[in-house]
Amino acid sequence: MNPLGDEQEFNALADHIHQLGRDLIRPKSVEVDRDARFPVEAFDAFKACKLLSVYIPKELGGMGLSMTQVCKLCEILGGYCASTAMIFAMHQIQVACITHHCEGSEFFQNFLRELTDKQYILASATTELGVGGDLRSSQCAVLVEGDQFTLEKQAPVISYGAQADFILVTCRKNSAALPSDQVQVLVDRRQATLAPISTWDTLGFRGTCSSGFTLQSSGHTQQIQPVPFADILARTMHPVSHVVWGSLWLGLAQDAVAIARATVRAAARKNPQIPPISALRLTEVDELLYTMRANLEMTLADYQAKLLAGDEEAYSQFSYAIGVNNLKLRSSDLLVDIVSKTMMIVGIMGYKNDSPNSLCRHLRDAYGAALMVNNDRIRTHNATMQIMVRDGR
Amino acid sequence: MEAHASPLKLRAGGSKKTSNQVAFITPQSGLSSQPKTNNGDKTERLFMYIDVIKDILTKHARLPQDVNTLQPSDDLYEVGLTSLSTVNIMLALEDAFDIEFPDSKLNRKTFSSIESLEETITEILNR
Repeated sequence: MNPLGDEQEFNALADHIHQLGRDLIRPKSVEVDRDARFPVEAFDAFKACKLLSVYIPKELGGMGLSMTQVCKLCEILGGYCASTAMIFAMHQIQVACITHHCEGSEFFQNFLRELTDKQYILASATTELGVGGDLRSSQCAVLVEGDQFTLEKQAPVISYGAQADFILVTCRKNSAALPSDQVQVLVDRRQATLAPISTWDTLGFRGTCSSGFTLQSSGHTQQIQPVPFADILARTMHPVSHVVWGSLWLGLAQDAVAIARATVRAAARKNPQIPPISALRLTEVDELLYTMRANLEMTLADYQAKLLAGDEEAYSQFSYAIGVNNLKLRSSDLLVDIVSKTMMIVGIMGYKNDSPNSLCRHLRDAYGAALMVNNDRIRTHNATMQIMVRDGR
Repeated sequence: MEAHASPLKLRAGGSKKTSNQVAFITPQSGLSSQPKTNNGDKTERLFMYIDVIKDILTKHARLPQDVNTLQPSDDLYEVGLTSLSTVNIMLALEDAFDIEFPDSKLNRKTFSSIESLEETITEILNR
C-alpha cells in the first residue's frame, strides 16, 4: 500500500467529489433530510466511482487511500449533506475494521476483494437492548455448530441497516463468555432477517436511517473475525470513528461558516461606508472553526503516524485513548457552538427552512454529534483513565 | 468509587511506605546473602511479587472467579476485568511496591495478565 497515495490522483478525486456534492448531493439533501430517507442517488454515484473501496489496499483491488485522505473525503461530503457523509464515514470505519485485522484470514482478504468489485455497503450493529451504547459489553452470543454459526441480536440502532449489504455485529464469542469477551461477526444480509423494532424519526442526521432491528442471522464460522473485538476497537474502531466523524463535522461547520461569510459579504457590499457588525461575529466563529480543525489535524496526524509505524501497543495506551476521546468531545461541542453562532450572523434567512441560506439542517444535525456515543459516557471513561495517567502525553 | 478511598487518602497524607512494608518484595531482601544463582534469586523474587499481585487482584479486581485459580498468563479482561477495577489495581500496586507507573506502561496490555503485571513491576523496580 502506498500510504500517502498519489497526490495528483487524489486531488482529481477530491474535485470529482466536490462536483458530485454541488450537482447531486446538496440538491438531494433537502429531500433526504425531510423524508428521512437513504441518500440512494449519492451512493449509486459513489459505487460508480468505486468510492466504497477507497481505503482497501491496492493489492486487494481498492484505491489504497490513507486514513488522512479518507478523512478529507468525509470533510468534503460533510459540507454538502451530513447524513450522506455520516453513512460514508461509518462504512469506512467498518472497512478499516476488516482491512486492519484481516492479516491471518484468507476469507476476509477475499471479502475485501469482493467488496471492491461489488461495492458493498457495510453497516455496524454494536449497541444492544439491555446494554445500551456500551461497545465493550454484549449480551448476545454467536453460537457455533460444526462450521456454521447462528446469531441473534436486539439492536436498537443499526444505521442504514436496511440498505446495507453486510453488517458487522459485535457479540460474545460463545454462550459461556463474559459480556466483555467479544468478537465481531460479518453478517451477510442475504443470510439474515431484520425485523424492525424502532423507527428513526429524529431531529437531525435523518438520512442515516438508523432504525432498530432484531437481527437473526446464520453463516459460516469463517465470517467470525479471528481477532478479539477489544483489539479491533482499540486499534481501529475507536480512533477511526472519531477522526472520520470529526472530519465530516468539520465539513458541516465549515459550510455553515461559508453561508455566514456570504451574508457578511452581502452586507458589506450593500453599505461600503460602515463595516458590518456581523464581520466581528464572523471573526469569532472562524476562531472556533480554526480550533476545531487544529484538534482534528493533530489527532489525525498522530493516528496516521502510528499506522505507518505499525506500533501495535501504542493504541492501547490510556493517554492515547484520552486524546482520541478529547477530539470527539471538543469537536461535537464546538460544532453546536459554531453553527449556533452562524445562525446569529445569517439571521432570519438562516432560520427559514426554505431560504437558500437556511442553516436549519446544519443546526439539527449538529446536535446529534454529542449524542452519538454520548459525550457523558466518553467523559466517564476519560475520568477513570485520568486517575491513572501522569502527564497524559 | 469507594475502593479508591484508602489508597488515595494514603497518598494525600503524604505518607511514604516504610521500608518494612516494601522489604519483602525488594529484589535484594534476604536473598543476597545466600549463595544462589541469579536464576534462583529471580524465581523466588517473582514468586513473591506474584503473591502480592494476586492479593491485590483478590481485593480490587472484582472478578467472578477466584484469582488463585488463574494461570499467570490468563487474560484478565477475558475473565471480567473492567476499566474501573484497573484504576484500583493500579493505585494498590503503586502503594504496595512504592512505585509509579509511567504513562508508557499505562495500557491495556500491562493489566491484561498477572504475568504482564509482574514483568512491568519488575521493570519499573529495576530502573
